[in-house]
Amino acid sequence: MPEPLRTRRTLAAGWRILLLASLLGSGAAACSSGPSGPSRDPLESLPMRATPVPDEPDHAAHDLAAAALAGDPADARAQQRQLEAVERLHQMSGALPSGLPAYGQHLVDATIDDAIARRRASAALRRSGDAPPALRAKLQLEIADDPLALADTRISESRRARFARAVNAFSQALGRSLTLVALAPVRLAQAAIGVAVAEHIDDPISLQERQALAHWKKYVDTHPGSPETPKLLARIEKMQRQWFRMKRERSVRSARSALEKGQDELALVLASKALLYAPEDREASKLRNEAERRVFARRAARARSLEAAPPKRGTGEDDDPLVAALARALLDPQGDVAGAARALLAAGGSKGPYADEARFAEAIVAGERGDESRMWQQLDRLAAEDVAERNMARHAAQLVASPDTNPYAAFRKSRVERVEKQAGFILLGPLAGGARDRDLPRALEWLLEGPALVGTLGGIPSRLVQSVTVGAQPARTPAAYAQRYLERTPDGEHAVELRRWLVDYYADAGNAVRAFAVARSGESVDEKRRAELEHDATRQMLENARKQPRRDLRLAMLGQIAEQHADTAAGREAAELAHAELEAATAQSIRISRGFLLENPVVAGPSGVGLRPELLDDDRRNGELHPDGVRLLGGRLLEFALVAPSGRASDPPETLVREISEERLSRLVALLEETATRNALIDPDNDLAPDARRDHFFERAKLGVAETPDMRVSASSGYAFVGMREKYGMVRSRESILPFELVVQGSFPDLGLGAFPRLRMPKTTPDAVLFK
Amino acid sequence: MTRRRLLAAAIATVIAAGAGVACGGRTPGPTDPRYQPTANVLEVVATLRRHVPDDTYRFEPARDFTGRNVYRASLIRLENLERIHTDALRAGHLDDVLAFAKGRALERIRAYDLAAENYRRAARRDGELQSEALRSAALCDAFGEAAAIGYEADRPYVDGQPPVPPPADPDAAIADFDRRLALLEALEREAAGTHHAFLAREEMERADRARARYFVAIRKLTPDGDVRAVAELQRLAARHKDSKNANRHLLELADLYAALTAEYVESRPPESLWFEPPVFQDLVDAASRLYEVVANQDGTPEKLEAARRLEAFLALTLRVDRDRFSP
Repeated sequence: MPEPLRTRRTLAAGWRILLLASLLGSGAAACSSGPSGPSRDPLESLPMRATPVPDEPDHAAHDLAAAALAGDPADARAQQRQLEAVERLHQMSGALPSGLPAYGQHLVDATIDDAIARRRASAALRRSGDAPPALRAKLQLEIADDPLALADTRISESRRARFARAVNAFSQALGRSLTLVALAPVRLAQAAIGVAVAEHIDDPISLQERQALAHWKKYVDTHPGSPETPKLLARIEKMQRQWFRMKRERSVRSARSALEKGQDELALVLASKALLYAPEDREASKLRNEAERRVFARRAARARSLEAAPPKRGTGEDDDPLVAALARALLDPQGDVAGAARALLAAGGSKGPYADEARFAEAIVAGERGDESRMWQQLDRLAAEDVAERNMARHAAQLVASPDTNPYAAFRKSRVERVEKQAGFILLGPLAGGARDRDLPRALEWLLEGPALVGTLGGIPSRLVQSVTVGAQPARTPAAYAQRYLERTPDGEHAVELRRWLVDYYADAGNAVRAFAVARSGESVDEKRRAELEHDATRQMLENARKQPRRDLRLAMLGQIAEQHADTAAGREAAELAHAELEAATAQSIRISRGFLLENPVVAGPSGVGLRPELLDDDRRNGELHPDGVRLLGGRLLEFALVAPSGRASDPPETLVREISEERLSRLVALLEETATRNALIDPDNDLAPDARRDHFFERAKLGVAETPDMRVSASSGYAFVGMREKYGMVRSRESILPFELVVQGSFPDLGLGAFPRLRMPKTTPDAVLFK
Repeated sequence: MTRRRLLAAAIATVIAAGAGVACGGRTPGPTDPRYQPTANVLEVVATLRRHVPDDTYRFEPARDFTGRNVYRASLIRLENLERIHTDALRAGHLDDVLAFAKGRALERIRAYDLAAENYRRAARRDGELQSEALRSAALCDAFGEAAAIGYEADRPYVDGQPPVPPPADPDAAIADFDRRLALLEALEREAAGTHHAFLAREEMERADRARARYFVAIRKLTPDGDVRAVAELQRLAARHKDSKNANRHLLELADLYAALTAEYVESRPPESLWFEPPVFQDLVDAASRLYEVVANQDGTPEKLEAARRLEAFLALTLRVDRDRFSP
């Protein structure tokens, strides 16, 4: 009996499942309204299956499984022998091989408690040639999971990386000198220095060696009685010492650097940390003592500044009524500060004992009146005076220098610094920040840069061109200060200037949304420009919304654009997109492409989707599955994309939605998962990418509880099962098996061209991040 | 002397010179005139006055040239001046100035009772500061009264005052916090146009934060406690978007999501049948998004904090199999 079907162009959202059910329930009559090709049911009826009768190998396999699960290895081995005997008889009677003995042997091997013996048994099974390809791949993974073998591999990689680094340096130096032979000695010398410095900077223990250490520790923990264990313990101890030495060296190096930069507190912490690893270390102790001395000296100086200087006896300063008047004016919200300050200045003169306090007071009331320029001029002058004579100079200097109180000056200063940095880069390239840190005395570091200086200077034209064509790095620091100024004083003297600068900055940096937000916050930008910015901003917001992977957030973003910018083109487009997305939303969107179905016919066939064979026979007359293939929509719904009546695969497909039975769904997802996993085992390029949401849906489908779609956005998967040809094209690129690659390298500074072989560096393992 | 020795000596000299420059360049000298003691009362008052109008609700309190909070530093300097200049100040001609300035400093570090006391002392003397001192004293009393309302687990214990007991139930807690907010809103209106309005806003923020923390603290005691705690922290972040602490509120919310994620993994191990990938994904998404928002704020210390916490949080997800969570 055919299952209900309906043509679908735009299917209502998944949560409208009731509506869909009613549409589906309307029967097959609607099918006739579709185009002639795809109007037929794309699915074959489920085949009638007789209950298979287990044969002798099946019974033997059952007995073996029972023995293994019962935890009786001897009985399991006996049952395996029985299975092998039964299988021989079975085949002698003309039956096809069941393939069970290899899996049986694997099961027997799994009952071995000792991991070493188990791995040896797996290796023997793999070598026997009885195992099918998928089982062989699985066995290989088990064999490879050997802590000792893994440790040996990491140690070998560590040596290889070190060797390749040295060889590559000299190979590059020679190869780059092919066109300029005269430079060969210099480049070789540079290479030698580079290798020596790299060896000097290298940690006493490499990342790969630390990985090996972890493997050895694991082995010793799991195999305390193994004959290898005593030897490994000695290696672990040695490596552990190196590891402590590395921690000590890193801490000392960082402490030294912090001390050079005046970060005394940090240097103190780092040097103390180094002493934890090497308690008697002289250098770490010296660094810690120096850092401690500086920290204590600074703390003492700061504490001193909180104290009060003794009164100046006999000067009459302390009971000066003008001083009290200014103090009261300063504290009184209605006080005449300017008048009181003038009076004090007039009485004492510009060199008087309270002249700087009076000038400071004048400056701050000028600022409160909104006269920023005057305030900063006065404070600048005061800050420049001798702090030993003018106690207010330090307070003025603090106000002038702090980016919080004086963001405009910080903005200007950072812009100048940026230009200087840019000029430094053009002139000195990588040496603009000084000689590179090589954990050597500074003078020696400069000496080592000597040979590179010619090349650096020669690179000026190319860096100049680069700075013009590529542009400078975004001025993030000036932008942060400009933003700070506007937050604090949105109507300040420089607000218009900074707002315009920020608008241009964000627009140039491609951040149209921020540019528009700044333009909207004040009157600095004219209407026309603001309209342009709004246009760009809404376009960018629309792009961002499109890129948002979560549907709920995407819809919220689209809704916001549609609501707040309704009169713009992007606003209207956002509304349409949101509407279309709501209409087409489904609980799941797991796709099985036509290519995948062609490469894995078992999934397309009656044991899987149950697709009619004519949909994959390349004959357009009887209907054809579109390259998009089949989509699992959630619940028990499948969507079939069929080639449009035009017959062109490039045209949007006709879609048909079909509700399938629980049995067909659970069988389909199980087969799909099984096939993809087997493919991944046989061919590493054909991997099954992790997708928890897909697996969650599959799990529910297999358990038969996927009837009600899970409408949570975080439960929705968009995974696609695609064929290898779709993934890689006709010819799959393969990684070279050669241990080296050939490099052709050009150099702008000296207009040189070189070619040289380069040894491949070993790749880091995925768990390397845990050792950094 | 051989050529090699000469070269070694030259390099050693250069290195020693370099090291000397590196080590000695930034050492603060013991006689750095910047750190000389405070010269007089006017110096402190002028500095304090510069920062009295500061909006400390929106922006961090200013720091003085030593890097200390300017209000606290001013208070200490004033007290030291009083102590050292006892004889010179005995005439009392600056009593009102000193008391008033200390009141201004104390109210900014939340010592409302002491601030009110100092203001009242300043008001004892007739003069231009009297009316403002009385007004400020009354406001500080009210701020102190408001700050004592409602349950705060981390409220400092004051000698002689019994700690506020925890409320009987969430409704009672909300009633207390509503009362506190109503009082503070009235104070904000009363203080409109003065720096006390900023103090009122800071206190309102503290009240909202105390309320959110109360619900975070009791979240395991009620069936919908987690949801309520999240809602309260969201309320705090939404109501105080302009505050200097806005990033901290977001971090606190992100931390709660991170804690919920960790608790979820503990209570429903990923390999168990109770683990629901969509729930876990929602929690991870929420925490990560909030950490990222803060980590993208240039020029704030919270940027670093959020970036590191995000890294640490994502490390938690390494414990979960890829078929249960795939980032």
